[in-house]
Amino acid sequence: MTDDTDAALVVRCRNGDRIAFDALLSRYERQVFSAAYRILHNREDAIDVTQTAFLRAYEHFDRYDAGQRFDSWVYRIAVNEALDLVRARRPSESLADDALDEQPGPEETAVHEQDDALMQGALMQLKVEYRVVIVLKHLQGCAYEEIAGILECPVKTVKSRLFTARQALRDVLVAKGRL
Amino acid sequence: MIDARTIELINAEIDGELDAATRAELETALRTNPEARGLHEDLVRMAAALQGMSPVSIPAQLHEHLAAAIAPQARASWPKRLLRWRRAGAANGGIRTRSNLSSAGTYTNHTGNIERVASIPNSRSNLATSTSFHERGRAQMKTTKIIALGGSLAAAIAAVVYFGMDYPPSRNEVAGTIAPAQRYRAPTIDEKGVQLGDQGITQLMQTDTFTRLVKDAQFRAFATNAHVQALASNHSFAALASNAQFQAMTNNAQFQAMHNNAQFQALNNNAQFQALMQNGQFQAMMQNGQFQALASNAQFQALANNAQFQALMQNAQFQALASNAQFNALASNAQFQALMQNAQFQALMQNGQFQALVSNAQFAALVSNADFRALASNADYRALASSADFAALVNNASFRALAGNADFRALASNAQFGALLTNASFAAAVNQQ
Repeated sequence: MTDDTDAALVVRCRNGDRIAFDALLSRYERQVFSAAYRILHNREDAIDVTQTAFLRAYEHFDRYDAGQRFDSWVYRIAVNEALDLVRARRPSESLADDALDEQPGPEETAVHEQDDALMQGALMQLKVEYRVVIVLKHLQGCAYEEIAGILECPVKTVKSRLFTARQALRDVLVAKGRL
Repeated sequence: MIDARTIELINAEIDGELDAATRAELETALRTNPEARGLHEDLVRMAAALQGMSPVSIPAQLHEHLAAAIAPQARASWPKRLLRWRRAGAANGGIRTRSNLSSAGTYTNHTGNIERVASIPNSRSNLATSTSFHERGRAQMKTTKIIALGGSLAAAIAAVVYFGMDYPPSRNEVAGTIAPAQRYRAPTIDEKGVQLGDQGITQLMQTDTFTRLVKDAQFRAFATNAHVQALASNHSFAALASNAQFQAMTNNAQFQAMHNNAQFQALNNNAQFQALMQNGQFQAMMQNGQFQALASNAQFQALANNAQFQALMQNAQFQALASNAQFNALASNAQFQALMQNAQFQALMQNGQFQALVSNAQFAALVSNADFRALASNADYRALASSADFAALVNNASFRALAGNADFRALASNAQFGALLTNASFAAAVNQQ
């Protein structure tokens, strides 16, 4: 089962094979959760989004295009869920579950953990549309084409949004003294 | 002022999209535009910082939770839940609530009719709301007609509903049906999920990879090595072992080859090199794309092998280098200039081992490797690389053999490897073999 391709697993899922779905889950749940967490910075929301993404995938395998990568498809569902969640909230409603993240930690806190918190805090200051492309490109390692598929927009738009997002993040990091 | 083309080229370089021609175009732009150079350096550092972020810790029971959400028994129970939600919907005025995902997209509309949400995967809104609007209208009209035509029939229906379906629901039932399953919270995840728990280590020790590895003589030699044990208690090493960059690096063929390289091993023992690894200017230099290009440049490698480097101003090789666009860019780079003035760097340039290393193709490839560059800027790695224990480890034959072992690389890629090394159960398991 672990050697099966995603396409083979999806065929099995369509035939009601739950073990095949479990294999897909094992293969991608971490990636999807990680992306959701980086976008939302809230573990419970990230779990909700991950769960929704896989449930919807499970219910709609009939709509899955075999020519598409399974992980891109699940990413798309998850990213859209995350965007819905962010937009549904009032601006004053903070998504971050970790308000203390940017406060100095105890002396023994490793430098890289503080830097992680600073970088995540900087990401959260970006518009969610920019945050998403940064997360997909730099943290999830997606190619332009893959991001275009996930966001359902042309590659040119992805590049343009990524350039703008990088400049915005640079400004935030400069303001924080990180650059 | 930076023109759009230069911004495009800078971004393309970060994404690894440049070919030789566009790279040369970018280098020219950077040489002539300090503002562009500043943006370039910032974005390169920013990309490295993003890449250097630690992996997100995954909730320990995420898989179990997700699997349970689609379990056959959970799905088999849907009709019963739906019935309850229907009541809840009536009591709730039909307001649809984003509830626990185990509801699997089932909601109740305001007429009490059960809606199965057409949860289109790529929808960005709850399409079910709009798609069911007409159905709701029809249902409302039907209800009105029924009420108008037969009060007694309605009463009969009410009686059937009351006695047969337990309507209206009690307060407790309503509360329970609005949120039939609580939104997932992660009580078993420790604070912020950052700390690795014993459970994770136990799970890791139960994997086939671990079982195979613990029987492996190379691994046992590694795990019982005094230097390894000294390192295992070193916070920097534990952090480094859990670092995604380091894990990626252990799987990198260039990195593995480098650690088997005698010149690199000798260099690791060299005090000047250790001092250099701690030097901020050198660290900045390692991140500099121009220096990376230079290190890969055959002319520079030849030059570095020449014992009379400082007298080489008249040397043909140096003149060739001086006309090299990459070198010219480097010579105008403030970080390089500072480095050239650095006493440690000057001493290093005189060091035969370093000269041999610079002319080594594996080193040149490694310096150009993005993972290694990210690793070189990692504070934990720098601290570790300058420690005597690390130098001894790199020189240790068992470790070098182990570095080529597929099972070890698989284990080293595991996020919990760092925690495993410091775990008492692990030491006991190794010693039992």
